[in-house]
Amino acid sequence: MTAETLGIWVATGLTLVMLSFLYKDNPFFRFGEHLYLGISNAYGVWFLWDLVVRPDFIERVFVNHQYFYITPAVFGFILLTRMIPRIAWISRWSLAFIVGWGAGVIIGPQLNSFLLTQIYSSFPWVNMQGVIGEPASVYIPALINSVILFACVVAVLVYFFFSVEHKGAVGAAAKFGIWVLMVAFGASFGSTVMARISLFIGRARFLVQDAEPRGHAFSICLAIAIAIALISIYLTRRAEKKKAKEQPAAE
Amino acid sequence: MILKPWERGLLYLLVALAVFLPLIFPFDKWENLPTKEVRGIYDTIESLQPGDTIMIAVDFDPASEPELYPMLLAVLRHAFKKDLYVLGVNLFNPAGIGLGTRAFTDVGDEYGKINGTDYCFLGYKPSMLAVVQAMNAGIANAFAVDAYKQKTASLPIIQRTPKLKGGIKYLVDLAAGETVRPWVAFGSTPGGYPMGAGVTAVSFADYFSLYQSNQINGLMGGLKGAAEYEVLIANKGAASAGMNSQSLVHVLLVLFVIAGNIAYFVGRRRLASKAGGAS
Amino acid sequence: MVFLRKQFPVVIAFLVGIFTLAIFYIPAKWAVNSGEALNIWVLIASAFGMVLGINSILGFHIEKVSKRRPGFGYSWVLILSFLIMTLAWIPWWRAPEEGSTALYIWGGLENPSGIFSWMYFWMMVPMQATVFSILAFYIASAAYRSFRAKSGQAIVLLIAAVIVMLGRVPLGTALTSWIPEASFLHSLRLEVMTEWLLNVPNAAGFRGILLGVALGVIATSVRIIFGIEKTYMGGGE
Repeated sequence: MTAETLGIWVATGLTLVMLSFLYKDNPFFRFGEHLYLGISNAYGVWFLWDLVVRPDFIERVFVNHQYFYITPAVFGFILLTRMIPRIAWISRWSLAFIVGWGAGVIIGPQLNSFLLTQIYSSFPWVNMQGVIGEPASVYIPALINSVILFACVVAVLVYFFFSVEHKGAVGAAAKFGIWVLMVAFGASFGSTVMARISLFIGRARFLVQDAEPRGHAFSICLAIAIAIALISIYLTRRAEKKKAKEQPAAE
Repeated sequence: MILKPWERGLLYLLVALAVFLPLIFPFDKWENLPTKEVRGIYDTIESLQPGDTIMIAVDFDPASEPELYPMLLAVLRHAFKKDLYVLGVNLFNPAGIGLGTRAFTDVGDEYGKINGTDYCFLGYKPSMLAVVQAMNAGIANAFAVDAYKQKTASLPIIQRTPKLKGGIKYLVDLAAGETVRPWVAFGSTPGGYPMGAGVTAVSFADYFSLYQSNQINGLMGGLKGAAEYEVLIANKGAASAGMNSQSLVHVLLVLFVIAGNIAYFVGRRRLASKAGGAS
Repeated sequence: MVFLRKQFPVVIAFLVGIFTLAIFYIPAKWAVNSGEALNIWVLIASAFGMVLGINSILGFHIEKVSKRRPGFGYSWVLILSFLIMTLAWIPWWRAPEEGSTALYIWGGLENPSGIFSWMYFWMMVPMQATVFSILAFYIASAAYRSFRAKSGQAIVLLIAAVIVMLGRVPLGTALTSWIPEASFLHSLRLEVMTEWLLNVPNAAGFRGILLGVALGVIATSVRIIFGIEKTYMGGGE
C-alpha cells in the first residue's frame, strides 16, 4: 500500500465524515471538525513562518545584515503584550501602526482603479467608443444598452444616497434603483448557486472517479458503515429517551 | 416555513442523485455554447503568432480546483497547440504550487514541450503587489529559482522574455481570490499588456464591471466558463463532464422554487379558508 | 502616561497613514522603495498576531482537557493533530542533496513526499472542500423554503435568478434552442437573456454597490488616519 492509496482512503473517509453533518451534528462530524481545526492552524503557523517571517525577517536581518528590519519584529513583540492584561495597552502602538498603514495604502488604488475608472466607464459616450462606425444592427443595441447601464448605475447610487429625502423625482429614481438591485441580486444568486454546486460536483467526482479506481468498493462500504453507525446512535438515543420518559411515569 | 425531516431528506437525496448519476453514467447530449466573454480570451490567444509569450497566473488553491483547474488545462492546451511560450506564476497561496506544476508538466508532456525552454512555472511568492511590479521590470529579480528549483536566469525562456513589460503579449489570471484587480492595477495597466481572467462562479457577477470597462478583455466564470473554453478548443475534459450534473441540479432547483411557492400559496389559501369558515 | 496610552497610538496611525498615502502619488524611486519596505514591515509585524490566535485556541482546548469538561476527547484530537502537523514541518535533520532518491519526510509544502504535504493534500484539502460543498444542499433547501414571490420586487429577483440559473447550463439553453438565431425573437433565448442580464442590470447594480463601498472605504480610512475612528485600539483605559 502506497502513501497515495492510504491518502485516498483517508480523504474518502473524511469527506464522508464531513458530509454526515447533513443528517445532523454527530460524533463523526465533531471528530472531523476538531481534526480540521488542528490541522489548519498548524498549516497557518507554517505558512506565516516559512513564507513571511523566515525570508523577510530572519534572512534579511541575520543573513543579509539588513538591521533596518528589526523594527517590525519589535512592533510584533509589542503586539504580543496583548496577552498580559497589565501591559496590554502597549499593543495599541502596534495595532495603530498596522491599521494606519492599511488605511493609507488602500486609498490610492481605491480612488484610481475602482472609483474613477468605474465611474468613467459608466458613461455612454465612453462605452460607445468601441462601436463607432459599426452598422446600425450593432450600433443601436449597443447605444440602448449603454444608456440603460448609465441609468441603472445612477438609480442605484441615488438609492444609496440618504442625505436627500427620497421624495418626488429622487424617490422615483431610488425606487428604480431598488428594482435594478433586485435583478442584480437575482443574477448574483444564480451565479452563487453555480459555484456551490460546482464544489460539490468536485467532491462527487473525487468519490466516484478518484477514490476507488478498481470499483468504488471502499467508498460504498465506508458510506454504509457510517450510515449504520449513525442509525444505531439515533436508535440508541431514542430508546434512552423513551426509557427516561417511562421511569418518572413508573415512579 | 420549517421543513419536516422527511422533506429535508428528500430534497438532499434528489440533489445528491442529480449530481452523482451523471458522473456514474456519463452522457453527451447538451451543448455548452460559448459566450462573448469566454470568446474574448479564446480570440486573443488565437490571434497570437507562434513564438509569442503569454503568462498564466495560477492564483488559486486546491479549494477552487473543481472550477479553475479545468480552465488552466484548457488554456494551456490552447497555448501549446499554437506553439506559444508560456510562463506561469502563483501569487495567491503556496498550496497552489502543486496544481500549477502538475498542469504545466502534464499538458507540456502531451504536446512535447520542454520545461525551461517552452514553458516555465515560477512558483509562489508573497507580497503580490511588490512581486508584480518587480516582474514587470525583470522576472529573474523577482524569482531567482522557479518551482522546479532551476535558476531562472539560465533558462532559455526567461532569456527570451526577461520581463513582462514589452515581453508578454497576454496575461490570463485564474483567480480564486482578489488577485484580478491588483494584476489590472499593477501589472496589466503599467505593463501595457492586455489581460483576461478566469474566476469562480461566486465572483463572476462582480468582475463583470471590470469586463464592461474593458480592463479585462475576457472573463471565464466557474465550471461553465471552463466547459465553454473546452468546446472552443474542441477538447472536452472534466468541466464538460461536470456540466451535466450542473444542468440537472439547476433545473431541480428551479423546480424546488416553483414547488415551494405552490406549497406556500396553497397553504395560505387553506389557512384563509379555515379562518373564513371559523368566523 | 495618558498620552502614551491614548494619544500616541493615534499619532502613529496618522504618521504612517499619511506617509503611505503620500508615497502612492510620488513617482520617485525612494517612494517606491519605502512603500515596499513598509509592506514587508507590516507583514512581519502582523505575522506575530498569529501567536495570539494560536494562544487563544490552544489555551481554550488545553483548559477543557485539564478540567475534563464535556467533549474534552475532541479537544485531544485538536491538540494532537496540531502538534503532529507542526512537528512535521520542522526539518529535524538536513534534507538530502537534490536529485537524491533518499526518503525525507520533514519540511513544509515544498517537500511533496513529506508528512506535512500528505496531511495537507489528503486531510485538510478534502475536509475544507467538503465543508464548503455542503452549502450546495443548504441552497437547495433555501430554494424550496425561502424563495417566496410575495412582492413585485421578490418576483423580479426570482425571475432573474431562474433565468441566470437556466441560462448558464447547457440543458437550459437547450430548452430555447428551437428559437431561430436570425429571428426577431432571438433575444428570448435563455442564453441571450442571461448575457444581457449579467452585462447590463447586474453590472450596473454591482457597480453602484462597489462605488458606494469604495467611497465608504476611503471615508473610513480618512477617519482612521485623522484619529476620529479609534475602535481598532480596543476598549479599556
